[in-house]
Amino acid sequence: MRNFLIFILLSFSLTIAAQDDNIPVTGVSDRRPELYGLTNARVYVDHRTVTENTDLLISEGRIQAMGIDLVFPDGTIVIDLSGKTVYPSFIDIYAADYGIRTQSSDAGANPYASLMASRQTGWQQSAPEPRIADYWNDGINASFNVLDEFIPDTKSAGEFRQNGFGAVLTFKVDGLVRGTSAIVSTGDGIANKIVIKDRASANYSFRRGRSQDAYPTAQFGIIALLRQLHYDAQWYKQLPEGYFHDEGIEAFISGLTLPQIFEVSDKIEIMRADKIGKEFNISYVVKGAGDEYQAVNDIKKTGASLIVPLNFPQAPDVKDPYDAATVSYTALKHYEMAPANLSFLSKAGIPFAITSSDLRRKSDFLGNLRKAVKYGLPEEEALKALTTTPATITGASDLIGSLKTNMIANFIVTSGNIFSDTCVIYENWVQGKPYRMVDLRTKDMRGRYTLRVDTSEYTLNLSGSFNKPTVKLTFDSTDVRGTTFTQDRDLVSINFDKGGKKYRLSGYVTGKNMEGRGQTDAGQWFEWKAEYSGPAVASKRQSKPAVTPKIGKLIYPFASYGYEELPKQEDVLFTNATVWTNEKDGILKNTDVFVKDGKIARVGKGLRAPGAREVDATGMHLTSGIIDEHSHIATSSTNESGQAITSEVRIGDVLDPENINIYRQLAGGVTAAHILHGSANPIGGQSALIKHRWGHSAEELKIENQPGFLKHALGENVKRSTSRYPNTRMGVDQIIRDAYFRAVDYREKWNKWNALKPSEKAGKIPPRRDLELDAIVDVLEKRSFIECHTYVQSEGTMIMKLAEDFGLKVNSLIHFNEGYKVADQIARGGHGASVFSDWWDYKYEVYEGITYNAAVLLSQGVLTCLHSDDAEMGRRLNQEAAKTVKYGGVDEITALKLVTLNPAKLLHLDDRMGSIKAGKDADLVLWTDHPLSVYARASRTMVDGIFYFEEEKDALLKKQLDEDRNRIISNILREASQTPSSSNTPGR
Amino acid sequence: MKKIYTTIIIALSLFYINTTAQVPVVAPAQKKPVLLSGATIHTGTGTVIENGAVAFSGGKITFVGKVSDFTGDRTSYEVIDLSGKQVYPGLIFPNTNLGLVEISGVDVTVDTRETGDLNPNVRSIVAYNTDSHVIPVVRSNGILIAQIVPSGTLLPGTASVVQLDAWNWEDAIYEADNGLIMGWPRRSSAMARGGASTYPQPSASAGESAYDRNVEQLEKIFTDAAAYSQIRKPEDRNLRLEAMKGLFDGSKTLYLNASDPKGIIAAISFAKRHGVKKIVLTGADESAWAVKDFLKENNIPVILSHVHALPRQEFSDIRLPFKLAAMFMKEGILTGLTYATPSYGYNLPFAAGQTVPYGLSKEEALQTVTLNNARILGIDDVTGSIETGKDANIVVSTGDILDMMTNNIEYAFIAGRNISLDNKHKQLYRRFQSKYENMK
Repeated sequence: MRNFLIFILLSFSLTIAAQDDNIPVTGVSDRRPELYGLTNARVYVDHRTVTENTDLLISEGRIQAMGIDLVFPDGTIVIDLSGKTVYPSFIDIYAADYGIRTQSSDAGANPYASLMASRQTGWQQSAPEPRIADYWNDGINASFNVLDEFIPDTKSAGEFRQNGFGAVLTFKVDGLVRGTSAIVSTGDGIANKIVIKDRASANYSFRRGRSQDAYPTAQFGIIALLRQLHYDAQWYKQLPEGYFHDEGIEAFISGLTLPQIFEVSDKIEIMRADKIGKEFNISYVVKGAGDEYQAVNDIKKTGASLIVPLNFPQAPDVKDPYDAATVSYTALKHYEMAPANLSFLSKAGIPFAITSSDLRRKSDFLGNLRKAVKYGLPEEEALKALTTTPATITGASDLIGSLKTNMIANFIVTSGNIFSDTCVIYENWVQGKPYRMVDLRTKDMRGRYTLRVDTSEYTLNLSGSFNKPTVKLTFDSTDVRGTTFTQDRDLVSINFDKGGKKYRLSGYVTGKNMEGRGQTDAGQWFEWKAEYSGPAVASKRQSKPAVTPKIGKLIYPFASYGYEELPKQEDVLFTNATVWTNEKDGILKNTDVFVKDGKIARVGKGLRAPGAREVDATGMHLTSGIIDEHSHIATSSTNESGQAITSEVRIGDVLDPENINIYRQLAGGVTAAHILHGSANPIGGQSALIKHRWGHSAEELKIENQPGFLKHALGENVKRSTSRYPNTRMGVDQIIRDAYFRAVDYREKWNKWNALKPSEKAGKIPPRRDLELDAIVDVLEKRSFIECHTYVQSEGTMIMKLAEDFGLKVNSLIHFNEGYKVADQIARGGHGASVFSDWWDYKYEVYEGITYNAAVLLSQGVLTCLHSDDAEMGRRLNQEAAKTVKYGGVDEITALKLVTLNPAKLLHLDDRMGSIKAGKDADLVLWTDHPLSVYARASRTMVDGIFYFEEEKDALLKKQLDEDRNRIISNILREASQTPSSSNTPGR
Repeated sequence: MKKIYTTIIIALSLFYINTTAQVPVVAPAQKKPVLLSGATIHTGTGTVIENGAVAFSGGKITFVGKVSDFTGDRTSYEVIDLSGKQVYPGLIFPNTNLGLVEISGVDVTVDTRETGDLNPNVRSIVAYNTDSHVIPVVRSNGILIAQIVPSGTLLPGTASVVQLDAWNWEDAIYEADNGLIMGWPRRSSAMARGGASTYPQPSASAGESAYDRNVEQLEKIFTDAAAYSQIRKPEDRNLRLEAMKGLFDGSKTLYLNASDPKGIIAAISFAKRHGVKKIVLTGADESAWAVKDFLKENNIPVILSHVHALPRQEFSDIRLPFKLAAMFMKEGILTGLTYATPSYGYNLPFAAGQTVPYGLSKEEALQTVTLNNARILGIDDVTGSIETGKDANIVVSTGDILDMMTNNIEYAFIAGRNISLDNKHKQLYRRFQSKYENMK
């Protein structure tokens, strides 16, 4: 082995020199051998392999050799690293905008944006403005490569090196598709030498960045655009040359072969990104926000690798109890639990890399990393997440991330275990060049000395860290006050007060000792000498034993009223209830209902169900769960207002399972809801039907096998924006009609194409898949149904007529405050209506809205339901139903159906929901009083046989919540009083 | 019940052969004494009289008691037999823009907020539109009195109390110009109301500096107004300061709104320091509950406007808005209820009903929209309850007035005047019932 090494070294000796380049020499060249031999180090070869007493030979930016007792070639600068530890330097694969200087907002303005704007206002556009052949949307920057703009940035590079980073992945933070990144070293110098790997990844996000386009404005629009881009890419690949050229799509396609990194802003978005990935066979590496522990089980299921920041939140300000009462429970919990994030991920076996991005101060990095370790992240995992994992993710593990011969010489030299609070990074070697944080060439003076000044003899003890030792001077076993020690390479100075005099000693290092001259404050000169007498005595301040800090429990969802354990499905026997069946039987008194496996099993008198939980419902009323036909809770996006027709967007992409209104609805007896796009657009987006399964994930909220619904809207809301078409009810009719005709033609194109034999397809241009038109084709094919926001009779009649022209029905005329004026037409056309009980007068188009609307609609035979459109009123829908008894004399059984069976029918769910009948879903509410009375409370609410809300349990949850808040607040106050210095720091 | 309804419709349609929406004719003054006989009488003071009688004459209540105790000469009365019906004091709707807003979404129909932050002198009464279509709609659920307030700035103006059946605003006056409205600025860090209907907030409320600037404006004008109030004959008349005079001698009540607990303490301390005699906290919700002891010590009545609202905080008791009325009442704090949106004022009785399953008795709940509001508005000497000598402001409901299922107002009397219960909704309802009748 030794011989072999020498052989290699000899062969190197011909070429050993500084890293080569193509820069012309100006003046006298200054190339030096710079051959470094590091000896006797403890070396982490990779995150799990340590070798002791190891030597390294470094030149040309590479590790030339590594082993025990290496023989170095002549001219090697040998550095003794005895007692020091060498780690592969860290890699940050999320160095957003590192070395990017041009951030001008309009430099990349997309001329297409103005074209799109002019299209919207309906001006005749003779031809597109001249522009480059890039993707039409300015948020798609696929053709950007970060090296087009990268210039090493000395200041940021220095910060990275301070934290132990030797290489980072930089990319430009702009847009949904951000182009390609590069791995660069954190060294200083010309960019040519610093680039380690070009096109290291393709980067994506949910953020528009500096896009000049109006579209997309909301997350579901962003998701739709990304999906459309993928389909455009698939189409593009089939196009013959010379048909349509798009630089953006071409770059996007070529970027797909690279590691795919997707940035999200919270843990729920991880599932959203992953869902896009799954549709197109992509495994995104997801850059998270540091809150992943809150959804660790769902994230695990995605199989995604993560890039995770250490951005632990600051303690909320809880000094004033009233201010403290404004801090959300989740903020308190996150403050407490965030440092344990990586511990949770590691326990769950989710692969992750660590990034230093998102920190308030870059200098917090090592402290937070060590905090994460204290909170249970194994050291080996931490090191892996900073070396091997990021290198592997970006396909750079043959260059960086571990220490092997021929790899880039990126390593740090530390005083010991990097995860220990007292560890110091002495040097960070980047591409074989040492950057010194602590000058190891300075003599380590730590030790015990006998200091002689005049005739007095003192004991001097220098302990602690190498560069800033703790000094202690004693005379006759008593501490000498005012002692300081400073060292500047070979020079030292010592100051102290003794016997009322101030002593100032100045001197130099000589071997192990120090000596020199000094002067008292009286001006008297003297000689001094400090003789080494042995190793330093450790200072009294003992390092605390590492105890994993105590943190609260995870709750599902991670929100107020989240459960520590999800409620389970039970077999339940409700006994002696007044049962509102919504079936032929009407209201049954003194009746039992047996629930088994999430379904209503039996309805009858004197039922027996051994083993079932018995709920005595004497004096109480049992009804079907209320279904809110129109709601906007539990979604992160409501309107995509960037275009007038946005049928491509889907609420189902952006459900928010942590929205507290889900739980609040349960407390109002509401078990299911139709979550719609808002009313900003003539054609908005696709709805989602959810059950209020509080504590479950977004996907789990969705009702199984649900039909589609497409939101349409008319009137004031859609014509309000003066900057886009339409501005009149006339234009609303035309833009919707046009969209439907486009969809009809589109379907025809596809039908023709699909009818072709494969041989006939050759050489022909395939139709382009259009998500916007797909959604309307679904309506034409009756897989999806028209939900149309409308108020006045003219527009209501218009949309009914329009639907009829395409052989369709308006599944639900939403709000339709003037429905009572045309109830006969609605009934005749077989359309449905979903209305308010008594909302009116908030704008001109509802000035003729009347409280009798629902009663009139019912009287004319229109399938009618009442909805909320409002999270607050949603939890009182039983009272809204009761108002139809008052306004128009609707009978009580029919009134209750307005918020139970009728919405189930309108939503095509009445085969499973909406009445109390054997075989239907056990979505039930037990009321304390007549369910239409203002005096009734929902006492228990069940979804799928699971009690998600019970008054007693609610009180318990509230108690736990209050106690947990108090516990965390008291911890914050205690921490603040333990660290008085930091409490004065602004912003703490 | 259906029969009664048909009768009413037929009766009304006699008056309204023209079915175009019109504001109903204002009722003439009471000419003949009226005896309401046989109903259950909810006096508003907590008393319930079964088989009761109420007599009123010349607009004033002359008798309240058991039918059996009525000794008057029945023949001289117009006797209305109300067996099985419920009789209540007319409901009072405080702190509302009713009559100042026709359609909230149409700017030109909105008269709630004058330009500038300090307009104590502008008077709601002069803009109160007695012909608003909204008023009869609200009235027909039993609301007979309202306090009309300007809103939206630091000092948006002066409020008046009106009765809801009048030819013009002068006729409508119940108590003119007896309240001054104040919106305390909000610190940026203060809680935002999440998802609930918003109470009008002063405009310049973003950020600390805006807060300080706004408080300074208030400090200055209150100081100046207090000084001005001591000058018997000012050389330069100042309408703004003039309008604030009443605060310092107790002839005007300061109705102040503050949205966060510290803001409430700050605002009330401020007002007291400046010598304001009578203070009412409006828009009260869980923030006010957080400082209930302070309110109690300072004897501050509260008006809750957010019964039908979501809690402010996601960690608040999810039914807290329903519970607050009972919580305040149990503390002995004078508590009234209002409804945040004027055109939804018809839901005021149901907001009161909503508090019943959460701690109030039905009679206490009734008080929050009758006698308590009268006390808060300083009109309890003349109305707010069914008591001898008070104005005959009375409603008759088929069933429980606080429950939407049974609320059905059959009669309403304002100062003994038998007012119309017709409104735009009913008119349009009839109009289109005719359409469908004619199609048969």
